[in-house]
Amino acid sequence: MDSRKAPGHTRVVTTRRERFREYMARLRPAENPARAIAEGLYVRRESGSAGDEIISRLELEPSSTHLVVGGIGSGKTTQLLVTEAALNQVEDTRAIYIDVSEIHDISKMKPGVLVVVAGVVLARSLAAEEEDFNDARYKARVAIQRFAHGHVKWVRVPDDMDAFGSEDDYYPDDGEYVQDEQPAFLAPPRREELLPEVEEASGLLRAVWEPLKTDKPNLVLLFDSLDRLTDMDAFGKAVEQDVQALRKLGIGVVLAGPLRMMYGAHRIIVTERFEENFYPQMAVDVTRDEQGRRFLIDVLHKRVPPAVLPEEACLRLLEYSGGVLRDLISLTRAAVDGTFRAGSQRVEVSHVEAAARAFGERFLFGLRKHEIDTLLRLQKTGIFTGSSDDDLALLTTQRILAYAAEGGSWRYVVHPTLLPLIRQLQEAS
Amino acid sequence: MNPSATLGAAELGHLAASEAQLGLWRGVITPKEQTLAAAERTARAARRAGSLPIEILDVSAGPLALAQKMMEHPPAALFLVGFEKFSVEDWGHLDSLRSNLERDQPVILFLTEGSAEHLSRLAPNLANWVGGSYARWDGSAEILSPEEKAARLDVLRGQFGKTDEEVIQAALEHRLEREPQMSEWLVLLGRGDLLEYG
Repeated sequence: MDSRKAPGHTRVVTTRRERFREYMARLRPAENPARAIAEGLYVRRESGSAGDEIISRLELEPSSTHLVVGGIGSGKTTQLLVTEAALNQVEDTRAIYIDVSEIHDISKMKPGVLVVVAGVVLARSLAAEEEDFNDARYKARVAIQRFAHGHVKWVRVPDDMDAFGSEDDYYPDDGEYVQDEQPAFLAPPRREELLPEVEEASGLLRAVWEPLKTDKPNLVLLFDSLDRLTDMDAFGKAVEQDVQALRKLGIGVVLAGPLRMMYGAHRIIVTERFEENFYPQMAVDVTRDEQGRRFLIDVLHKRVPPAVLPEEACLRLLEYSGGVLRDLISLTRAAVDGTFRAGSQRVEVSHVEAAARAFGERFLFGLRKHEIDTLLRLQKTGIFTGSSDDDLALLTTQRILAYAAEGGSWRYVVHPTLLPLIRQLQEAS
Repeated sequence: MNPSATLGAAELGHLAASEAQLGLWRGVITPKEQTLAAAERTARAARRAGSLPIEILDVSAGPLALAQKMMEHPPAALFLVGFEKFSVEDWGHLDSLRSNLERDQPVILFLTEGSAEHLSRLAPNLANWVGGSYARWDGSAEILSPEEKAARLDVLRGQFGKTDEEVIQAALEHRLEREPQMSEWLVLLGRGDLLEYG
């Protein structure tokens, strides 16, 4: 063995490997967006974003309510985080990003959850400030935590209670009467008042927020993860009850909501509750939006330098991603990985093609004949109604992508990595 | 549906070891009744290839139990098996818990064809983390034809700028880099016995 040669080789090889590892570390589809922002990988979109609009509206109207809706991986969480950071720069405003699913199992969504989650988060702020010596603060913090997580209460059993009966069985025998509550005769068309448990939670939230108002009187809460809800009624109730309760308290709210809210009967919630403050966070229309293309290329070049990811490969990646941010990151990671394994120094179009094929294949899992027909029809006619559950499933699983079009309408396309595969299927059949 | 990539235990194990801190998610589709065997073989290969702890987690206790296990688990590559016992509701529930599943180490889902379909249809947020990183399990992948073996060795020589003799010598002298590809190289040369030297 040539011992003089090996170390030199090792050093060069290690440098290449280390470089590629660095790129791969910046191309993690499962990465928490907060970390990407902290690592300086966030790129601001010159043409503005949902976050920009929300920030300017909340600066003027701190207790307003906003809904961000978009496909998976379209950057909703990033927008909430950027909004949080910007609002915290405003002198009189405290903004808190809350991933609801980290505090509550959102498959068990019910009215009051957002109010209580907000209370728990504020209670943590109080605890973090180590001001438990203040009795009112301590009581407020403990009260909301008990309400949220439950607690054991000791109850004194009256002497004259039946030894074998429960507390509920106890009936006073001294001439008192238990009040018999009459139900309302008329049922209002829409329930505007808060449920008793939401009202109670709301009072506890007010108590825990009060001490925090001294330095920053305005509070904005940004609730994430609700876009993963599949039960639209549960989301509707949360909006009806919790958002109303928070609004009554004067707390600003930004929600990341499910894409399905834009369709069918649920659309009315968007119209009635959010009016102008509704922000579709859609994929960047890479075939028509030159500024959007530049933005996405900047996103990639923050992670991988142009010398390794040249323009030609970049543009092909953009095309295959359909302008969905996380899909773009996933595809680029696969292409960079392929480049490294092939021993190449830079990403070639052939690496992108291989990555795109693998990416598209996952959309074929469980795809049914009538869904393939829907996709082919969309491709041919450009028509997609989104009127059935199956249609909406194609949208929520991103086999179909939606873009904002002129006049407030939508343009739909088949995911660009799936299209060639279903064409092949069609030809084969 | 057939993912075009096929991977065996050795290569999957190397991937898990080499992507130790990248927090990447992969899906491996195996024939029914082979998910656990595939995970075990891959775990053995991954342990040989690197120092990252490897754990196989049975998810059949349900999504919430899985999320709790993953949140509490110390750093390790996690190989998840048992998804075939998930109900339709379980998949939706798992999807809603996604924020609680985030890790810095690799996660490989060993899935049957049916589970892969459910992941894609019923847990789109989680499927989005996996992206296009699916492969079909190839239980015979370690048995390469002489031509395939020669081709792979050529790639390794070009990639690292070393000869076979240099790699063997480095292993004998305990100075071989702890890289999955180096382990693979020794195995391809029929010198798996030198792995412990590395």
